Amino acid sequence: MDIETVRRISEVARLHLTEDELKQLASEMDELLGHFKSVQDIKPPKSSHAAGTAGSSHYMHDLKNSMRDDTMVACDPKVTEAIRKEFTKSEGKHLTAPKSIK
Amino acid sequence: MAIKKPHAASVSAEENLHRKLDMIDKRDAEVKAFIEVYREEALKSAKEVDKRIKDGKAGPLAGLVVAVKNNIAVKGKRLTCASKMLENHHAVYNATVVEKLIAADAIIIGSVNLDEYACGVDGTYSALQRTRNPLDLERVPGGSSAGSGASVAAGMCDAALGSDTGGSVRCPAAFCNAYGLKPTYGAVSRYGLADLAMSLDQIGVISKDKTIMKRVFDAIRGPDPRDQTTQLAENVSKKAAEVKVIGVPKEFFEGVDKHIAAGVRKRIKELEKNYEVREVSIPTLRYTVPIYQLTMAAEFSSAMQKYDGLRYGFPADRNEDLYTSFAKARDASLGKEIKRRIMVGTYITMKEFKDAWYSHALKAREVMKEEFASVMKDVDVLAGPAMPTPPWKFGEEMTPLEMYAADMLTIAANLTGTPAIVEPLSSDFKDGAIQFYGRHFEDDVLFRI
Repeated sequence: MDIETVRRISEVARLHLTEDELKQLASEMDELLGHFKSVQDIKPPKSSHAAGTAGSSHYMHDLKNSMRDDTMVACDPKVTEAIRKEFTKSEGKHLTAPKSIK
Repeated sequence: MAIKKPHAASVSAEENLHRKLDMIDKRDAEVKAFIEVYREEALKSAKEVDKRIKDGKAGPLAGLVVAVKNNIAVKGKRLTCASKMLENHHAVYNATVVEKLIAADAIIIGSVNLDEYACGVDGTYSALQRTRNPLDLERVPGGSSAGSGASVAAGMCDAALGSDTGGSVRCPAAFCNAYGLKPTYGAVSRYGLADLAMSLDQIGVISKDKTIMKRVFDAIRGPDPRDQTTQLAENVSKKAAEVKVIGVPKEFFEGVDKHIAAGVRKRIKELEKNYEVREVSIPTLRYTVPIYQLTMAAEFSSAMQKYDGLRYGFPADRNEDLYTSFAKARDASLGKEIKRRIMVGTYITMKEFKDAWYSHALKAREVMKEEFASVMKDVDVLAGPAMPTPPWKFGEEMTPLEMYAADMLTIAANLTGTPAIVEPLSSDFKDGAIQFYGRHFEDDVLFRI
């Protein structure tokens, strides 16, 4: 793995790495991935669930979402007022969020 | 060992707690299992529990002293994950398991050390302190629940909670000569556990006493509306069956220390008196390390994105632009092993590389699950060694690959979601431990062997 690829991965990973760290990781990742490559040897038998779409199920059990219907609920006017106070500016019916990061 | 009936407490909760605190005072300066001891709160709750015992209103864990791995939230206390990033982060709520321990009248004595974000096999990757094995201070306690194993072995608590993503409860249990349980995925709520890899993580228990381990497990298990994976947990006890056939996968003995392998074989031979024992084969067990490492790294790199130095402890430099401030805070406060896993996980899930890596790992995991299900139609439990070696000495150099390989016998339980228990083979921790795997939600079966 070349240094530029490792640098690109570090940018995607939001890690600010030194040149030495990048060099070391390039060699370590080569070694690790060289070993991990053996997963590509596992060929799912035709009867296998995995022979279909890649990674069709990586959860242990079938999960179902417990969703509720969207419903309007009344809000305590005190809470509404407290939220409004946090916003000093508004444009029409929209509130402008204060800047928190310079 | 057959399960015994819970024994009546012979000492008061307060007396039991004092014994544990005395042991901490005596030994924790060298063992360094605890990150924080909740002395005052524990004494207060012991007094309250004693009152409830007197009134005949005490819960099922009344008076038991429990330590909690410091990646599990205890309200108002530091939740460090043994990292610099979260060194001063305080939990704002209790994990479900902590709520359940309190409701059962257990006394929470404090938080214990771990490998940073639970990433490690031997406990040496904590960014805060080095925990030693109380049975031999020159040796590692095992990881990642290093403080859980060490505090139990040193008699600083009756049981400890740990988290197990690839063996992190069972490894320190084996290295510290204690019992360790990794329940079925979904048997215990993970609400309030700092995640490592969401499809593999499970909270488990370590204790020197199998009966106590079962009592703690019974107290923390069950469905929790705050963790969707627990929706099937109510089926657990109903499904408990008897053990008739024990399967021994031949792959479990490949690459295992000869002395440990012989000890486990001897124990299995003894089991033949009461059970039918069969050799079986699960070929994908030879690939557990690569399948696990790829799956775990992908999930871990995603889970770690939230640690950006803004919402959590470590201060980001706000004079920088957003990207640079995130990246610098992460670089300054995350350990080497964490960065390595984030890098591997990011790489294998990038659009252009995903098909060659992550997708293959998911397929391979599916094949392993199917092989397990097929073998376990005919056998009730699987048996083999827990760890391939005894605990090593500090300072023994290991490459990342050698370190990852130490997990090779435990990680299949996480990849397949099955329950697993480890038990010491003798009173000498260097003799190793035996491990049993069960079927999904048949955790109780593991206590009947």
